[in-house]
Formats: sequence, structure tokens, C-alpha cells
Amino acid sequence: MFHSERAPDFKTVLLASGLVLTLAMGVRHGLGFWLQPISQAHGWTRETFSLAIALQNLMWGVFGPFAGMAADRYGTARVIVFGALLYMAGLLWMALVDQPMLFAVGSGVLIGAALSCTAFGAISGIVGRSAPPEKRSLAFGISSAAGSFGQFVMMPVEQQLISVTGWQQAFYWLAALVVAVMVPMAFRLREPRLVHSGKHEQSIWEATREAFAYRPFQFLIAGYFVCGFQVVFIGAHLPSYLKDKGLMDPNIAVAALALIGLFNIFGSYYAGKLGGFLPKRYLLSTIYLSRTIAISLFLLAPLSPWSVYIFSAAMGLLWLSTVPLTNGIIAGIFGLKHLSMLSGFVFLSHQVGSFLGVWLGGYVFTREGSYNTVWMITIGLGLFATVMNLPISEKAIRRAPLAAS
Amino acid sequence: MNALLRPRVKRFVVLAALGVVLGATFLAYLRPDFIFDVANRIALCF
Repeated sequence: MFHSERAPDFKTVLLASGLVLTLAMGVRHGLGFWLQPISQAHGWTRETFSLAIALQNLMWGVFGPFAGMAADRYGTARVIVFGALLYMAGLLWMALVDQPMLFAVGSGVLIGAALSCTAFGAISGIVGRSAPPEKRSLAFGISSAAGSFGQFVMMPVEQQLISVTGWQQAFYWLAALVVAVMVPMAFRLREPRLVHSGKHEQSIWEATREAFAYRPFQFLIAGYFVCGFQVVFIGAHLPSYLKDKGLMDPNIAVAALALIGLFNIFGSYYAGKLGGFLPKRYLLSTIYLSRTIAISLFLLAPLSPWSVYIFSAAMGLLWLSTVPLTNGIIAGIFGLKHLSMLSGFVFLSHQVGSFLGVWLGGYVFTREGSYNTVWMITIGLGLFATVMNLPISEKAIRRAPLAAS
Repeated sequence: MNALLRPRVKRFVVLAALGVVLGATFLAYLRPDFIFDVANRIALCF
């Protein structure tokens, strides 16, 4: 049922995986719109909903390597179907459960696990396998752009859905949409059954051990941690930073979010495209350096609506542009057999960074009454990631002949 | 019909459609009710 005679062609993989990514990333991105109606309906404080979203992000990272392992071993199609069902269950859970702890833990675990099965990590394996080597980086770029497109487009869609149908009905519609789109797309991604060659093949454990002992992989993990920290700190705290600095007009904050979303699509695509013919490590390093420069200029320049718009467009271009390059480097070094799992491990570090970015922003602001310290940390981490990515060797790892082969 | 199938025309149509979707979405962000909802979310969160 989950296997086919022939591998899907490159265009089919890009289209089907792109649609899955668009929905997976998009639906999750708009969940914040339910904060107010759910909290009001159940008489909760904002903490319950915030805990659910924080848990979701952590669980997405924690389940990532396991979803990747399953995708590498049992096929991406099966993992996406499972993820779509989890996504549906998570959305229904959010619609129906009115006990605060059950709500937070259940939706956090269900949607976090669903994301690990339907977003970048799990999908990267099949995208890498289907793309000709010279187009692999571009393919990762198109996938990332599809996820970014979902984030940008689904926010107004979800807001309207809540306005028109009510918050509970909106969950039902989204749950139906997720299953109706993802399951047929998963069937388009079916691959032939794995045939063992008889030679000794690298096991999951061997691949994990090899990767974690390899210096470039450690550098990638460190860099991705910084990416998560910067992106989520800015995404979550920029509106309140603007408010704190006297830019009270919500139009400015919303236009900033829109610009980040719009430019993110182009940044993801072109990063993948450039990665096809320029060294990916230098591109990654340039992205982190550019982020550092953009943040520094934003803080040093007089704050105005235009400085916010220019900063948002620049950060949008640099937002998810690290994803295709990081996945491309992993594929180049370790090959495609365990790509989803290894991407999952690197993404776990991204999510830990995200968690710390959003938490530290709130914690430091509460203690010091300003974001200055966290901005400084963000700049310092940007310089750290700039340096960490420079010495990465993108050459395929040389493996010692295995005793059993 | 044949002209529509030409790669360059196809590419132009796809890019134009994408441009329309992105433009319309960007305008949707600037609708007063959307801004009101996001502002509420920001005020509630922080």
C-alpha cells in the first residue's frame, strides 16, 4: 500500500512535498490567532495556550530524529500519512479539550509530533533522493520556499476562518483540510521497497555515531542553534520591542510580520539556488554575518516605521535561507540514506535555540525592563555562527572499509 | 492552445499567478480586522 513500482519523478516530489510543507508550516504558523478566543471561552490565562505552543515547538524538535529515522527506513509516504492523522488529532484536541493541562500537553505532543512527520526533516530525504545531484540544493530551496509560502499565506486564511466560522469550527475545517491534502500527496510520494544489497549497510546507530563524531556536523548543529534563537526571538518579541520603543501603531508591527513572511519565500528559494554553484558553508556564514549587520544597524539607526520595514525585509530574506543550505551540506557529507534522521538531529538543536530565544527574551525583559541584553546575545551568537560555518568541509565523508563487507 | 504549452509562456503564467497570490496575501495582512486580531494577540502575549 505504501510502496510503488517506480520512484516518483522529481517534479512530482517537489509538487507533492511542497503542498505538504505549505500546509504543515502554514497551519502551525497561524495557531496564535486562537490564543484569545480559546482563553476567553475556557476562562484560562494566556499561560495555558503559551505552554501548548512552547511544548509544540520543543516536541517538534524532539520527535524530529525519530520521524526522520522512520522516513528513511519505512518511506516518507507512510510517515506523512501518520503525521497528517496526528495533525488532525491535535487540531481536534485543541477544539474539544477544556482541561488546561490536558490541552497543553496533548496539543503540544500531538502537533509537535505531527510537524516532525510532515515538515522539513522528514521530507528532506525524499527531496534529496529524487533530485539529480546538480539540482539538489535548488530542490531544497524550493521545499523551503514552499514552507515559507505556507507561513505567509495561511496566517490571513486562518484569521478569516476564525472570523467566519468561529474558533471551534475553524479547527474542524483545518483538520479536514490537512487530511484531505496531505494523505493524497503522501501517496504521490510512494517509493519502491528497499532492497538489501547483501553488503553491510550503515545502521542507524552507526550513522548517528559517525555524524556526531564528525566536526563539520557539530559546527552545523551549533549554527542551527543560533538560527533558531535569532529567528524566534525576533519573530516573537519584535512587536513588543516596537511597542516598548514608542512605535505603538499595530499597523507597523503587522506590516513587519508580513514583510518578513514575503521576503522569506524569496530568501529560501535563492539560498537553495545559490547553494547549487557556490560553497554552502560560505553562504551560511554570509547569512549569519548579514543577520548580525542587519540587527546592529537596526539597533543603531533611529527607530522609524521605515527602519522597521527595511529591517523586516532584510531579516525575511535571511529567515529560513539556512534550511536548504544546511540540508544540502548534510546530504553532501553523509549521503542520502540517513538524511532525514540527520536533518532531524540538526533541527533539534534549532528548536532548542528557538525555545531559549523566546524564553530568554521574556525572562530578561521581565528582569531588566529592556531587550538590550538579548539583542547583544543575538549579535554575539550571529558572529559565533559566522565563524563556526567557515571551516565546514562539504566533501563526502571518507568511510573506512567495513569488516563485514 | 499550443502557445500556452510553450515553456516560457507557462513560466510567465505561473509567475504571474504567484505574484497575484502573494500581492493579494500581502494586502490581506493590511486589512483592519487582521491588524486588530494581530494587535490583540500581541497585547495578550506581552
